[in-house]
Amino acid sequence: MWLFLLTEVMFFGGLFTVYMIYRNWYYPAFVAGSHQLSIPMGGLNSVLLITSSFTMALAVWFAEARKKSALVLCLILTFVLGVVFLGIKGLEYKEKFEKHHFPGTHYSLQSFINPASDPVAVAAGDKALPQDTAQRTELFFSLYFAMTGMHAMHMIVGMGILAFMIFRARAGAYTAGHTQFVEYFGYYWHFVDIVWIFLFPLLYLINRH
Amino acid sequence: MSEHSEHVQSTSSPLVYVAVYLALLAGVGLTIAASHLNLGVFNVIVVLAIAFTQAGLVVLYSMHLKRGSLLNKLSVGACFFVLLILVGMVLLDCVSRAWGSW
Amino acid sequence: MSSTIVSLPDQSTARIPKDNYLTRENGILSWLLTRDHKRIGILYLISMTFFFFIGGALAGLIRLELLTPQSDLMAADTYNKVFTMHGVIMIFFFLVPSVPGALGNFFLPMMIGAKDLALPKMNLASWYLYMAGGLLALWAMITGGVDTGWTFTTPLSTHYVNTNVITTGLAIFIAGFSSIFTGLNFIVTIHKMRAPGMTWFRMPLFVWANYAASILMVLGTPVLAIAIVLVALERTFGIGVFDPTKGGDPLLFQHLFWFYSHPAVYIMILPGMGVISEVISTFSRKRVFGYTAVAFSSVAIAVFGFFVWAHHMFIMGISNYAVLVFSLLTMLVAVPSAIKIFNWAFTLYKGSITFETPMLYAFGFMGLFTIGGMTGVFLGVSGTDIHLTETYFIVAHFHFVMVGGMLMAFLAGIHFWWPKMTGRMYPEKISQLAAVVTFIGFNLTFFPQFILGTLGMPRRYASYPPEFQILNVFSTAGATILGVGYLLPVLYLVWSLKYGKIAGNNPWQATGLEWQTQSPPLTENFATPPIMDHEAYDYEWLENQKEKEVASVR
Repeated sequence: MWLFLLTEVMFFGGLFTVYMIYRNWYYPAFVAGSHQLSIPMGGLNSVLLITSSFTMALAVWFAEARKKSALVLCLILTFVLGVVFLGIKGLEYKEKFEKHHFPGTHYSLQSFINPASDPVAVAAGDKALPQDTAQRTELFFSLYFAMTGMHAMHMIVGMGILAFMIFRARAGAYTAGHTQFVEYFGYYWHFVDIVWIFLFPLLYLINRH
Repeated sequence: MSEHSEHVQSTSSPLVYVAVYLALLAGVGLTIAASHLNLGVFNVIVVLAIAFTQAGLVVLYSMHLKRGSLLNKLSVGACFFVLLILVGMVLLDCVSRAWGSW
Repeated sequence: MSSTIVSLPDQSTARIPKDNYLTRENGILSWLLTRDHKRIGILYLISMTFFFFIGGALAGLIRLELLTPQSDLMAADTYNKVFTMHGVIMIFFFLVPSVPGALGNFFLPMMIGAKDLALPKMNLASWYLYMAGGLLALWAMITGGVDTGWTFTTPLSTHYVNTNVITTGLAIFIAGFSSIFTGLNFIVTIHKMRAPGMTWFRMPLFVWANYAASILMVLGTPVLAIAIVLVALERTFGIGVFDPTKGGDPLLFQHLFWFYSHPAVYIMILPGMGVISEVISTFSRKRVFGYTAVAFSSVAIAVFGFFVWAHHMFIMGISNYAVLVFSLLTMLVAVPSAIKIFNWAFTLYKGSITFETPMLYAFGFMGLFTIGGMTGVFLGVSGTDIHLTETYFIVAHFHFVMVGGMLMAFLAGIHFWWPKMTGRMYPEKISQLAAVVTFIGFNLTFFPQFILGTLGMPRRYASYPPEFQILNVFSTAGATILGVGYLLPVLYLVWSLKYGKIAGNNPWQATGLEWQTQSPPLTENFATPPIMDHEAYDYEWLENQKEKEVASVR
């Protein structure tokens, strides 16, 4: 499992490389884009995911301690927290679509060229950006959707496996000494958590002063 | 695969996980707070430092790497090194071009 | 040259062992759902031969087109599709999986005394992913093809062509997972499943080579995956990461692409070098000179291979500082490869050399890989690279290392282990002829391309100035000969399945645990788990064994 996680690290590492280059080159655009993201929602997601990581670690511990009902409870909690996380993500995405911040043909520069038209930009105290810098915000959102989207996909796969595990756990499959599956899935889940730990500050918290 | 030699014995109590959990939450709070300060270029450095610390805690304690074999530790280290090469050398190229600095 | 070390059992009484991995189970499902690493190796062998000949046919089309200076056989756009698909199929669906998939899967567990790989189901999944990717790539080819070159350079691939870039990209993405799973499997197997007494430094060098290649597969392939994903997103949504008008940098794609694709060439060549170590040792009856050096140089190639990728990008717009750094590092990576060549040469020195077919291929490898590798150093020097890049010099360079090097090593391995895999010997005379024909054909095909490159003929062009025609005609003539040289093995190897001489356990009198058991092997490889109590390539130990061996049972 470690080896597989290393491949995932390299996969996301490529995305982070792309992010670092463009943040370096188009800092003002990235700042403006970042201000469009909601810290409360992102922060809440961080808390949710970290908590789910905690419940997952507990689940592994309970599996080894052969406490079936506690194990199942922790797995269910992890799952629920994951669902809430994805739900909040979905709300964020929906909001971005509505404001035409999804990259592509419908991308709108209004919030950046004319911040007064956008209450979020006003709240963040953004100044109007020149046209070409404003266009670079599309790059920010591309990276936002690519990185959080990739992360969400990994979470969805994880939750599918989690659902499978809940059924198996209830049948006692993991509390008879064979805890490897739960332990390895725990590693995967912690990895997903770590990716978010990096994503949150790098995407949501660019220059908030 | 021999699971018994591979399996890392868990802690005798889950308090470690509680400690890590609280540390991670504190990290999130710190990060948000730090981003509201004006530290110039150090903003990114501080925020990344907190993130790396959090990641380190998760890897070492929640993922049991601290009690794992030397091989596991080396593998993670090697991967991190390769990632560093990727990010570092690409950055080296990109910052030493005049491209994009306008 | 009439001496040979081949030692076959008495043909009048010899029989293929009744119980072996081929006869243990019957029926198509026993093959398609097998978890036996040996059967999976055979599955890979058959499928990659299929892909090889498709790639080869495309190569034939390329050479036919280049017989004349004009683009008269096909339109320039079609020509672009032909060379792109030739590259994609040959690299991702033949060279990368070749030795690891066919020979590594089959022999790695046996060489370390294990029953199977660590994760047999993952091994089967690996083959299915490979097939899925390959068939998808063929589908992309049939329904319009791709014309960007196998390197998918942006912004051409993202903005300026309307061919099947995403489909082909997806096919490569899937094949990448196949590669990752294979590498993962090998690493875990080597760490966890060595027989008692099989220390790291008693393993055959083939195992070391596959280990190094597996590290590259595991750590490098995901970066290719993300590069492909980003190209697909760029094409579908126009996200702008590689689009200069939106602030993107097309060069970033190349950084990500070559970060994998340079280690990829080492993924391709390292297992081949492993084969050569085995073959040279066996046919000079000597242990490999400097075992430790060769083992560590495999790992060194893997490590250094990660540092040099931008030497594919010297003229693409990277900064001068990056050019300097990468050029210096490229000098470094040539050293371990050279160490291997020297060690093999010293293995030959004072050895009892015989010239069976695998050894002929190995000699071909040593010469051609040396030329290919040296020309790589010429290209690594940024000053010369500026003139030689994107010319036929590059084409010649990589074909020398990949075809003259890797493909020859692959064929050496196939011939060397054929008796073990099938229980039968291939016909020696015709196979030696095929090896010589291949060597001649290869040189006639690709040596003129070095000259063409220095004269300035650009690569990936369907038409060229008429003064280059004579060299192109030589090249095409050579390609025809080369084609014959590659077709012959298919014919005689299939023939040998029914009519070849019975090989017995150890026709080459080789060391190595795989030779100490029956041919073809049992499904569980060894009747009793072996214990390794001698060093690798220990020919004295082998002599001892023979004294104890029962010659025949009445």
